[in-house]
Parts: sequence; C-alpha cells; structure tokens
Amino acid sequence: MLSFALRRFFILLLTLLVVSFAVFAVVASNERALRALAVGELGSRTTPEEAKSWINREIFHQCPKGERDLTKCTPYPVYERYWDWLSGFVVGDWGYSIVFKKHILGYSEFKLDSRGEVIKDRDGVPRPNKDPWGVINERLTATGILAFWTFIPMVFFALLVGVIAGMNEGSKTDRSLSVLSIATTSMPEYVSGILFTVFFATAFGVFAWLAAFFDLFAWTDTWFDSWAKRSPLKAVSNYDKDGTSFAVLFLPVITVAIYGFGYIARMTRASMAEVMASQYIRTAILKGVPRRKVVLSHALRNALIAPFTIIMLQFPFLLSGVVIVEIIFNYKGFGFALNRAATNMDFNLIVACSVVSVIVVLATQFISDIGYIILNPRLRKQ
Amino acid sequence: MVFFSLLGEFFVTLWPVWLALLIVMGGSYMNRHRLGLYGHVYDSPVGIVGLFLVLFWVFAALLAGFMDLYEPLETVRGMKNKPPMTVPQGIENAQPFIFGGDKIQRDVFSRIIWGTQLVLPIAIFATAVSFTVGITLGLAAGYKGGWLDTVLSFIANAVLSFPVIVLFYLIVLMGKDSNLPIALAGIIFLFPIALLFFGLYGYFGGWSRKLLIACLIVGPVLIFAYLRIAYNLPGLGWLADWAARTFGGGDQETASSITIWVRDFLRLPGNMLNVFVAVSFASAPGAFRIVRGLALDTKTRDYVSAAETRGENSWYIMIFEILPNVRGPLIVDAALRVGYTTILLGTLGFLGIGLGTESPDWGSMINLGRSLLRVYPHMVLPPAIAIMTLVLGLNLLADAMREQSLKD
Amino acid sequence: MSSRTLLGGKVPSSVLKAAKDVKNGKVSRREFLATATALGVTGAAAMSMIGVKPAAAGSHGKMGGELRISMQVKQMTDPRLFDWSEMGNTARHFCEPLVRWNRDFTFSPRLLAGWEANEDATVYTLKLRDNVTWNNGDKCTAEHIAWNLQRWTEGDVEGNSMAARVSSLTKEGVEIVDATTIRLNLTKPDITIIAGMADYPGLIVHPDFGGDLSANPIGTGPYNMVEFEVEVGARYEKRDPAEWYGTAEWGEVKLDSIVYTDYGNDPAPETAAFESGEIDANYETFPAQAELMDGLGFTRSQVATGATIIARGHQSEGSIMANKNFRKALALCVSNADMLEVGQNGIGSVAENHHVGPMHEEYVDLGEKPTQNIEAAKALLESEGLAGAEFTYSYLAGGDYRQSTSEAMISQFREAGLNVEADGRPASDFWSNWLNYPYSTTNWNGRPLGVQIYGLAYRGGVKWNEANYSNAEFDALLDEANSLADPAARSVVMGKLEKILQDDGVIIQPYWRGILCHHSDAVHGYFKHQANEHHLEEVSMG
Repeated sequence: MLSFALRRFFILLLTLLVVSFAVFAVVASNERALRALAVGELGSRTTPEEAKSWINREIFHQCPKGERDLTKCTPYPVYERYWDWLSGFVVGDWGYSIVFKKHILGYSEFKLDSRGEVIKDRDGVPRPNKDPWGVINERLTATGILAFWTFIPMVFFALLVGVIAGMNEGSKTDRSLSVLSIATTSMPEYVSGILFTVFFATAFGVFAWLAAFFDLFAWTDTWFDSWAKRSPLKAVSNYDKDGTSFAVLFLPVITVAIYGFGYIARMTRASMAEVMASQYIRTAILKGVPRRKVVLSHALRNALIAPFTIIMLQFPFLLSGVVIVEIIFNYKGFGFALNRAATNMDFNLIVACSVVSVIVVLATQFISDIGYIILNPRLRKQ
Repeated sequence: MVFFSLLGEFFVTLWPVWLALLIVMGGSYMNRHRLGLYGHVYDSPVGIVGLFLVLFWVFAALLAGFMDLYEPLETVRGMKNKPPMTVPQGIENAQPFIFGGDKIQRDVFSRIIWGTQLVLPIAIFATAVSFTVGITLGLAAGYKGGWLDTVLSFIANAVLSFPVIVLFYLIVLMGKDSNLPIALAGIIFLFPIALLFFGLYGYFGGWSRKLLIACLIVGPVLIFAYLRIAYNLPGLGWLADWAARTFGGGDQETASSITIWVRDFLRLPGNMLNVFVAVSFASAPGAFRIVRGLALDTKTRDYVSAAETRGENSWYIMIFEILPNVRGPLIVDAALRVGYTTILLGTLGFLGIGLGTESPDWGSMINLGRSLLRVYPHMVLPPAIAIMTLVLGLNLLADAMREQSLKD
Repeated sequence: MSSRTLLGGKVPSSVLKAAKDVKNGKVSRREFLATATALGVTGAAAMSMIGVKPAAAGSHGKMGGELRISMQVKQMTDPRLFDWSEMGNTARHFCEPLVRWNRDFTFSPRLLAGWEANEDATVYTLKLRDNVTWNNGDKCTAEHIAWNLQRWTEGDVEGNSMAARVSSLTKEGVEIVDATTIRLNLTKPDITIIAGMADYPGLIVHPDFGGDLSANPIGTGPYNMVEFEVEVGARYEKRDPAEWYGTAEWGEVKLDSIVYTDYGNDPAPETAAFESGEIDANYETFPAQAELMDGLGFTRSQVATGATIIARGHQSEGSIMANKNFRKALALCVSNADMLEVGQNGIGSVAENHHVGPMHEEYVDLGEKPTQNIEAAKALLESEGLAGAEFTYSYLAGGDYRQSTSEAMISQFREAGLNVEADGRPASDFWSNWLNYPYSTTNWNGRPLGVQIYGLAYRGGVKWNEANYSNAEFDALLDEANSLADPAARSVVMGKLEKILQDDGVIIQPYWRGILCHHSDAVHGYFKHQANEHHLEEVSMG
C-alpha cells in the first residue's frame, strides 16, 4: 500500500513538472500570448511598438524597479523564468496575476505588487490588504461550494435511479430510467444551461408564470411570492456579492449536476444488476428473505463499490465542466478565473490553474483507487 | 397558431430528409435480419429512435442542397432579431424565417441545416483520426506492455488531467501565429498512415518485396495528402495555373474557379486545421485508454497465443487478431466518441474560438445569440437542441448496439 | 455679470465674434458653448451671451443612501494609462480632473479655479484653488499639479495616452508662476488642450501614489475608495464633507456610499440583477436590450454622442487599400442606415464617413450624403481591375454592435462580389494588433472637438493613425484649424478637411452611436454622460 502511494505521488510530481513545463514552453515565447499580455497591461489602444518594447523589458529582461533603460537590465531567458517559477512554486509563491491584480496563492496581510514585494506608503508603513486571500484560494473556495451543492443532489438521485433500475433489470422502469440517464449525458453544460435559463428564468419561464399566478391572488408579501419572482432570476449572478444562497446556486447546480448524473446512474445500475444476479442474492431471495431486506442489507453494500470510484472520478470532470457553467452564469469561481486567465494570457494564473487541475485529477484518482481497495473485501485481504 | 405553421413549414422544407429517412429506415427495417449488427439496432425501440435522430442530421447534411434554404451567410434586410415564422418584406415569394432571424439578419433555420455540413464531417473525421491514434498506440501499449506502456499511459493521463479549456486556448487561439497546431497536426495525421503501414507490414509478414511495392503504390498519394493537410504544402500554384489553362477553355470565370479548386484541394480553410487538431488531440487519449484496456484483456486469449506460437509478427497479431475481436466495443465507443467530439466542437464555438464568428456551426451560433438569450431565445434554442438531439441519437444508438451485442 | 471669464479677465475677441455668429445662425449653440468655455469663459456667461438661461443650479435630493451601479471593474493603475471610460469612473470619485466636460457640453473647472488663453491659444494660464487637500492630509500644491502636467507629456511611456491629448505641451512648457498659478507655454496654437485635460485619463494623482491607484487610492475627491477588486467590484464611502474643497463651491455630496459591481460583459446577469433589486443603475444598456429594460420599468437616460465605429483599410504601400478608388468602391457598397439598424437598433444617427458630426462645434454639413450604390461600386471595381478582390476583415467578436456592424458590412461587401474573409477575434487578441490589420473596424469614443479627433487619428504618422493615412494637404489644413479659436472661421477649414477625408475614402463611418443607461425610480439625477463619465455629486437616492 505504501509503495503504491509513493509511486502515485511520484507520478503526480512528474505530471506536474511535465504539464507546467509544457505550458511554459508554449506560452512563454508565443508572440500572440505576449502581445495579449502587453495589451492587458498597457491598455487596448497600445501600438505594436509600445507592446514590443514593453515585452522586451518586462518579460525578456529583469530590470531594477522603475528602470526603463534596457542596458541596465539583465536578460531573462525562458528556462531561467521556468526555474524561478518552479522554485517559487515549491514554497507556495505562485506569483502575481495580471488579470486580477493580486497574488495567486496564499494569505497576504499586506498588499503586494507584481514582483511580490510589499507595497509601502511613503513613511514605510506597509499597506494593509483588504482582500488578503489569493486568486486560487478565493476562486477554488467558490467552486468548492458549488461542487459540494452539486454533488449532494447529483449523487443522491443518481444512486437512487441506478439502484431502482438495477433492481428491476429489464423492466419498463429500467428502460425508461436508462433512457433518462442517457438523455442527461447528451446535454453538455452550454446546452442544459441555456435550456434551464429559458425554462426557469425568462419571461416564458416557469417562475414567471408562478409569480403571475400568485399575483392573481394578491399574496404580495408572502415569502413564496418574492422567492418565485426573484430567486431564479438572481441565479445568474455573482458569487462574491451573494454568498451562497439557494437563488445563486440553483441554476449552476442543476446544470452541472445533470451532465454527471446520467453517468453515475448507469454505472450504479450496471453494478446493481450484476449484484442482483449473483448467487448469494438469489439464494437469499429463494430462502424467503423479504426482497426489501435483501436489497438494503446485502445487495446495496456490494453494489455501491463500483459507483464510489466513478463518483470520485467525477471531480476532475466537474472541474472542467464548471468553466462553462461559470461563464454562463457569471459565477466567479475557479472556472471563471481559468477562463479570464486564458483569454488574457495571464501567464502565472494559467499555469497555476493547470497545476491545480492536475492535482485534483490525480488526487481523486488516487483516492478512488485506495477506496476501491479498502471497500472491496476480496482485494483487501490480498 | 404560429407554432403550428412553424411545424408545418419545418416539415415541408425538410421534405428530402423525410423521404430519405423513409427509404433508408423503412428498407433497413424490412431487411433487418440480413444486416448484421446494424440490423439488430432495429430490434430495439431505443435503437430506432437513436438511429432516426442520427440519420436525420446525416441526411440534413447530405441533402441541404435540395432544400429551399437561405444561404448560411445571407442577410435579409429588416430581419434582425425577428421572431420565428417572420416573412421577409420586399422579396417576392420569400420563404419565412422558420426559426426567426439572428442579430445579423440571417435565417437561423437555414444556418442550422448548413451547419451540419461543418459539424458532422469534423466530428466524424476528428473521431476517426483520434481513433487511429488510439488504436496504433493503444494496441502497442496494451499488447507489448513494458516501458512503452508506462510512457504512453503517462502521456495520456497527463493530457487527460489537463483542463480541456486551456488546451483549446493554447492550441486554437495562440496557434494562429505559432507552429504548435501544425506540429501537432504533423504528429496526429501521421497515425492513419502509420496504422496503414503497420497493417501492410503485418499482412505481408515483415519486410518483403510485396510490402515495398504496396508502399510505393499507396505511399506517394498518402504522403501528398498528409503534407497538404498537415503542412498546407505550398507550391501547387503552377499546377493550378496549368489546370486553369488546360481545362479552362478560355473562359475567365471557369479558369478562376478551377484555379481556386486546385489551390484549395485537400486544404483545410482558415481556422479549421487548428480546430480539427484541438478536437482530435483532446479526444485521442480517451480512445487510447479504451483500446489499451481491450488489448490487455484480449492478449491472454487462446487465439492470440495460437498466433504467437505460429510465429506471426506482433503487428499482424495486433491488427489482424486482436483488433477484429474487439470491434464490438470499439464501434459502440466510436458512436459515443462522435457525440463527445460534437460536444467539444460546440465548446470551442461557445468560447468564441471555434471555426469563426460567422460560421454556422452550432457552438458558434449559441455563442452569438447567448447574450440575448433572455430576450430572444429563438436564436439560441435551435442550435442547442440540434447539438442535444445529435448527441442523444448517437448515445441511444451506442446503447442499443451494446445491448444487442451483449445478447449475441 | 461682473466677471465674464473664470479669472475675471477679458473675454477673447473670437468668442465675442462667435456669439454674434450664433445669433445670426452661423454657429450652433452647442458649438459656441464648447469653444467659449474651453477658452475660459464661464458657462453662465457664455450662455447669457447667446441669450440662454442657465439651468437652476443645485438639486434638492435627499441626503444619504447607497447607489449600486453595475459596471465592469477593470484594473486601475495609472490614470494616464487608462484606456477605458470605466477605469476613469472607478477613479473619478476620489481622483478629480482639472477640468470637467459637463453634460451640457460646456467645460467647467474642478481642481482649477479657472483658466485663460491668450488670443492665438499658445499660452494658457491655469489658476489653482488654494483650499484643496488630498485625502492623505497633504495640501494640493502647484508643484503637484505641475508634476501631473509634466508626466502627461512623457510620450515614451508605453500606453500614456495623455501625451497625444496634450501634444502641444512639453515638460519645459509647464511654468509655475506662483503658488496658485501655472502657465502653459505651448509649442503651437492649440485650442484642444483644455478638452484634452477633461478626458478620462486626465485625473490628477498625488506624486506619492506609486503608479498603482488601486493600491494607493490617494485623491482629492469627495469619496474615499474602501474596496476594489478587479472584475468583481469597488466601493466608495463619503469623505468628511469639511475636508473636500467642493463642499463650499458646489454643496455637499448626497450619497453616503457608491458601489460598483462587475457582472461581466454579458447583459443577462445585469438585467437579472436589476430585476431582483441588487443594483439601482447601470453603466450602459446595449441597444438590443433597451426595450427590454424599458419594459421592466426602468428609466432610460439616452444621449447622442460622438462615439462611433470606424471601418478602415490600412493604406500600406502596395496593398489594395492604398488604392483610393478601391476604398471609394468599398464605401459605395455600404448603406450606413442599414448599419445603424443592425448595429444599434436604430439608436443613434447616420454618419457621413468623415468622423466629424453635428455634435462637434466645427462640423460642416457637406450636403451630399454617402449612399449605397452596389452597381456603381461594381463598375468602379471593374474599371480598376479589382472585381472579386480578396481581403481579410478583422473585427472584435464580442457579440456587441461591433460584431453585428462588421458582419453586416461584410455581407454588403460580398453583395458587390468582393471576397471578404471574416476574421472575428476575441478582445485580447483583437487589440494586440489593432493598428495593423489590412481592414478592420474599431470603436472610437466621442471627443468634444472635431480637430481633436483629426489630430489623434488622421494626421500623418501619429500613433493612433490606424488607416496609415498620410496627406500633406490634410495635415497643413489641420494645423491651420488648430490655430483658429473662432468656430466660424474654423468651420470653413473643417469643411475642407471633411471633404478630403470623405473623397479619399479613408474610412467608412456608418453611424454615431446613441448611448444609454437605465436606473430605477429611486435614483435621482443619474444620467448617461456623452463620454460615459459618472458625475455623481448631485445624484441622490430619493
């Protein structure tokens, strides 16, 4: 077990190294990316000459603070930048995000400038930071909240549907539940997001009708009236201001959940069907143990091992799925940050997001494997 | 009322599709017992629905030319944001805009139908290319194992753990000025050729004169196509000029169209190569994993050992023993993967880095109308439903095929 | 009316002459007000000269309350690098300009007490207030202002857009006369310099601000910035009214706090926020959303502006865009009225392909309007041997008027048989090369004076000359126009300039944008400013 964990850890490190280097190699000297970076920094009406001189000074050279004369600067080749990034990365200094104008990881009591130095006023007093958490900390928390609320209904309903379908393999219920789960996997986030928005949050939507209906009875001040009128509309809003109300999370959650739901449900169904067909369950049923008891106390436990691994593997998928959802609903989480970083070529943030994403994927894979070994009695004994 | 006239117009305009569906599906249903795996699909209602949805889009793509449609980029004055079933003013016998007009005064319905001619070929060919990558490497990794397997699996896992959005931005957006997509295209498009070569190599039992002759016959054509597609091989100007002179018949217009045809023959226009590469690259590791798993599973079978004892070379075993025996799951996965590729393509369009803002591919249409979703859902709902139905059809079809192959 | 200029001096003779021209109809009222105030005449005096009663000053809104506005919150570093009006707005509540361009198209002093120009507009005398304090406690001195003026002139700082706005000023030209007087000695006559100072990058910063305003929000304004996060939001709280010099001058500001929230550039979340009462006002309503917002019961504030969209070919040597007749043929392909309909839902007015319009004081109606004539365009292309010519048309594909207009224009080009490749690009990608595309559309903000625009974008060799246009005759006439303070005299020259630009087919300028915003009933005094500026001192909640 220990050697297995160590091997996985080694692979994780190696992947991080390869991925971060690949991103560096592609972005660090790409003309288009650097120009986009210069434009982001200097403003949209930058001339190509200005961009060029800025890139040359800020990216390809290291200058003393405020120095504009290139002869007083030292060249800063890509491999040195990578090395500096890597040594910072290891100690948790992930650099500065140009798009968000703040540090990327960790807590900083004082405001930092783009070189990571504390900004001081003229008496030498450091400026306190009203927004001390780094981009990744903040955005990943927001996405964590979204993921948490997505997982609860998604997993619950997927297991429920999967178990019911698997118990009655081949029946009409099974057939229709299967088609349902296939249908949900056919809807990428940008499709279901649109359908849900139209269905819930437009003038043609359900809630608009509900609100109109309740207006009919002049229940103006009831909680339901205001809820029906406002909450689904508010759902296209932003995390920072609203916290995590039901209204904010409703549409993003169902949009993400619907795509993952089908897959888990089908895996659970397959696993359940297999268990139900196994010898000991058949024996139990033949012995006259009530079917409900058989399912709850024998079949379920064994049938849920396979879905467990699948559920863990949904995390990485979720991390990339939320990019689209966060764009659609303007939810300011990890995916939003990733998208902003990529569109503006915010170099440090792109690498940071890629690295986080790789860590999440490989860590969940690891947990899934370990969990499978622990849950499965036959494997545990080996 | 509008709803019914919309439905009516929808059915009338699509008459070639209905006709083709009737002939093909009706004919196949009659002869379903003679048609193998394809025929078995007709045994399940799920399969029939899936096939119906898929064939609907396929025939829409093939027969778009026979329908009474507006051009995909045609703008009609006064049709900006107009609701469904609005008839353009000032044109005689004008077709109504069945799904309404978009921001740029174009007909949403016609664009959806023309869009199939982009979405389907790209999805299918990108899947095919990613499958050749997956098969070549997956068979080798699964069958040979060892360090090859370790390295390839590591690379596949690394690509899979990388956020797909960043991958797209790196390849498509930044690729416009860099050599990255061309380099990737160079690698990816090598695999169909490699697979063919290894197939021949296995078939002829290693190096032999026959192999050499076969290579000399197929080689030049393939290499030409490869250089043309992946590297946009220049230097066809003289050929274009020559063709225009020889076949143009002195007519200026014909000559110029011949020039353009020769010049653009087998060349992916504009951003399409980047998009194609991005989509195939994102989809290939998945295909690799599937094939590798199947190969691992199959290599312990008796017929493989038998072939090994016969002394067949390993490419023969991989391509002519293992591959045919895992075709069932592979076909199912192919159907799923075309759907997945469609989704990826839509993602690119949605992010605004796809085939171009004007392009009638469905993702780009969604992106174009998205900001007005709450006011004018008619621009966004049709492409969204189009993606959904195509992918749903493919998924249902795959499910039916899996069920049927399990029964056998 | 004892003092007719801000400093109590003599009214320039050109202004007196212009006032006469207004009365006999040669110059419009708006033109007159802009020039007169730019040369130092008080708004009230200028109005009385032409017989207009100034609007009653001071409103009687309720004190207190919070105004929540939806606006994109972009980075806020150094004002002279600002390239978006939104950046100016996030800074303006605590960082003030020397001069303000008012809603009524006049200029009025903010940090200045007043200014005066000499007869040929080569020397400007700026009078400073002596009661201005920074919110860090320092007194605002003449040295501070001079330092600001000098750093505007640093043309070699990348992105410093003030350099082009005050191009007639050099570092040495800034002269501190005494503690409250600064004299600007210009290198050439320039009537645009006050207007340039009033533009959004012209906010005055403290010498210690360190190049990043968001980290060091030091300013002189009536509010203090308490929160700021790019892409998320910003918050301002009222500074002690006794500390702000303006309280004595204009009265106490009404609002206790101002909040900006960033809902991205997709209008849907913003609309939702409006409906659910999360915000009281927005920065801008897209024309396509206008009716929806009206229908939801919000109040529209709309203004005709000089904001516009320009399609131009890059006239690099040897390219088809260097061919004048080709450019003229392109202009013949396009119906400007159609573009207005597609791009702006008709909100705005049709323009005439020379980038000066009725909102500018020196505008001359050339009479003949550009009209679409596909047949004539085809014939012209044929005669040049350019029928079916190919070119790439780049534009910003952000889903707004720029994309709609460009794609509609492309479709009209294609009607004339041209082979246009559409190249829509995401924002960061588009701007990184905006000056060099073979053909592209760019949006331009409105500017008070027509000569300003010509100096910024069409003079040979200037930085933002995206058409790469170079015409010695044009440049010479432009210099002449710049030295004429009298709008009537300037109009004559301007007419020639307009004609040259139109005849050379330099640009296709389909329309002037009408811009608008919405606010809820609770908000009083909120309005859409012609240059997108937020002036919230008079705004109240109820």
